[in-house]
Amino acid sequence: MSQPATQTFYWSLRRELWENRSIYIAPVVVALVLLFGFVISMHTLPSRMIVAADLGHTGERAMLARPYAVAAYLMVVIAFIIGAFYCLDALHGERRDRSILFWKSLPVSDRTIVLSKASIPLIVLPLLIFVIIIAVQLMMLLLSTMALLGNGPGLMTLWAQLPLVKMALALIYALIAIALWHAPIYGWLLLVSGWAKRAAFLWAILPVITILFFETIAFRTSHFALFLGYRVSGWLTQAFADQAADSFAAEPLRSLDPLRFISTPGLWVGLLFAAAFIAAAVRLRRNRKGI
Amino acid sequence: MNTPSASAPERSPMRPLYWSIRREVWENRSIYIAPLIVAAVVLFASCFSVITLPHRLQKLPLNDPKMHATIVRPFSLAPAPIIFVTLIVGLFYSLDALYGERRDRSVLFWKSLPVSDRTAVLSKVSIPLIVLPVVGFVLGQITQLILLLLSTMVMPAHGMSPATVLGEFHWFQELFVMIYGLTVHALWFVPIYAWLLLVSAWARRTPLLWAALPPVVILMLEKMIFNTTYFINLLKYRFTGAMIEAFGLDPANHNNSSGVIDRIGQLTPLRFLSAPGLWLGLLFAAACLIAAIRLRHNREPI
Repeated sequence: MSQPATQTFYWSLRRELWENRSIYIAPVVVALVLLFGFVISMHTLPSRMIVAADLGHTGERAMLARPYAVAAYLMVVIAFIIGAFYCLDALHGERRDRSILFWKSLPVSDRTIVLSKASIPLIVLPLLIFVIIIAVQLMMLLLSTMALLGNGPGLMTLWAQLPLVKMALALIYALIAIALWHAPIYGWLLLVSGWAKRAAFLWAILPVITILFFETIAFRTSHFALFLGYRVSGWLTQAFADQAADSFAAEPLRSLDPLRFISTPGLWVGLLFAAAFIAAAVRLRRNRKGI
Repeated sequence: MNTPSASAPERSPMRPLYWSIRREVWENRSIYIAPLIVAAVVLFASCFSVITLPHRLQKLPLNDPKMHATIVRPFSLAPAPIIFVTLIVGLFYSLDALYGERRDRSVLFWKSLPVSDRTAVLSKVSIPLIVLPVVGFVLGQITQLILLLLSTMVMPAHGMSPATVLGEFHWFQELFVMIYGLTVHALWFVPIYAWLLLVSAWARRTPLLWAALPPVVILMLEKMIFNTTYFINLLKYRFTGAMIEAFGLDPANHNNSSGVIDRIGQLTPLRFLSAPGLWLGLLFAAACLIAAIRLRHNREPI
């Protein structure tokens, strides 16, 4: 009875989720904190609705949509942090607690395992974050509706002006762009996690710091720092035409620029690097035992 | 005369602590390997700026006020990246110290030895407090001396006296400033290390995430509820406060704009000792350490 490849892959993914519950617990905790803060700040909502009504069409939409956009942005940042820490621990932890000996005894190839681990930050976390963000935004809308129940015109403008569906579409696009753009970072972290015996985080950032110092001292330039910043936040400048926060919140779909994003060389070079890192991680796992 | 009574010395309480510290250094080789790597890179990179130093000096007019800073900077700033890396190593070391031994179950063995939890935790906290600053100091000094030696070889090659550098570079004062700076920073950062040790004794997974999550949540809540930023200012003060409190860097009597601290007159130990942040931080650190000792007492392997 041969197991289909997708089946083992699926169960490897489920194993990762079982073992690393912080993947979903941490975003849910942050989402609850966000909602709690929103509830606290809600007593100013009616007055804000009055201010927003004087701002004209775009200004009003931007002001109404801003809390929703900020919540989404915060959740995306949290997802990046969780994904980075997950990757650093993914191949290190199983060697450290020696459970790798058990997992290697199963008929699952190293490639399947590493790919299932890489797909947590690249596929699972974006999906999860999308669901959580939509849930948070719906809850925020529900809470605002309850707060504005005695305020007829305010309620009407909120429902008429809030571009929630467009924001969701822009969010899908942004999450895909972020996952592709950050793939080399996750790949590098997975590679270090498969290689380091101790202090994986330290070994992941030490080369970066060393290159930074070297460049500053020897040449007094900062090309590498700029490159790092581009690798972390370049998706924003490459995938969106208009990065001004207010116009983005008012008209989320107008600023998408998929053609420019796809034609950015940084994206494809990054994906090549990600593939190389992951391939190296697969080879490393083949040879490594418990620490 | 090899009787057991003669070879077994009086058990001083410092012996287990000393061997526990040696154990930590054996097990975590990044304590000295990471600073060594950075020291090598800094040395290599600083060679460039030392070799080009005569060119830059020849461009400056005589008695230029920037003269002193230009000469001193390559030597004065060379230890800074090394010391910075020892700080980072200290942070990650503390985060892993009590978590790693539970995760690889070696805590069962270490607990079977007649070494108290207090000795174990104290030996772990003394790595970032004592061992890493000493490593940073020694490596920084070696780097500086090699660079000074190099300069005495480079300067005559360009028709300048090697005494130009040695006259401007106050080696003894620099040494004193470095010792002072390392002590001050170690004391100022104790609460951070102690907090990380506490999380490392408590967390079952991803200690880094659990260490960072409470500050981030407090930050976000404060911003959303009160729209103030006291907490982030507190964190900033905790990371940069040692510089502010212990060194007289205020622009009024600050005559060189290079950021080089190389004179004893720039130190303000009294202000540092009277900063309430120092003592509150030490209190917080003590509380965290006591909690970490209790946790290690009760915790089993994960």
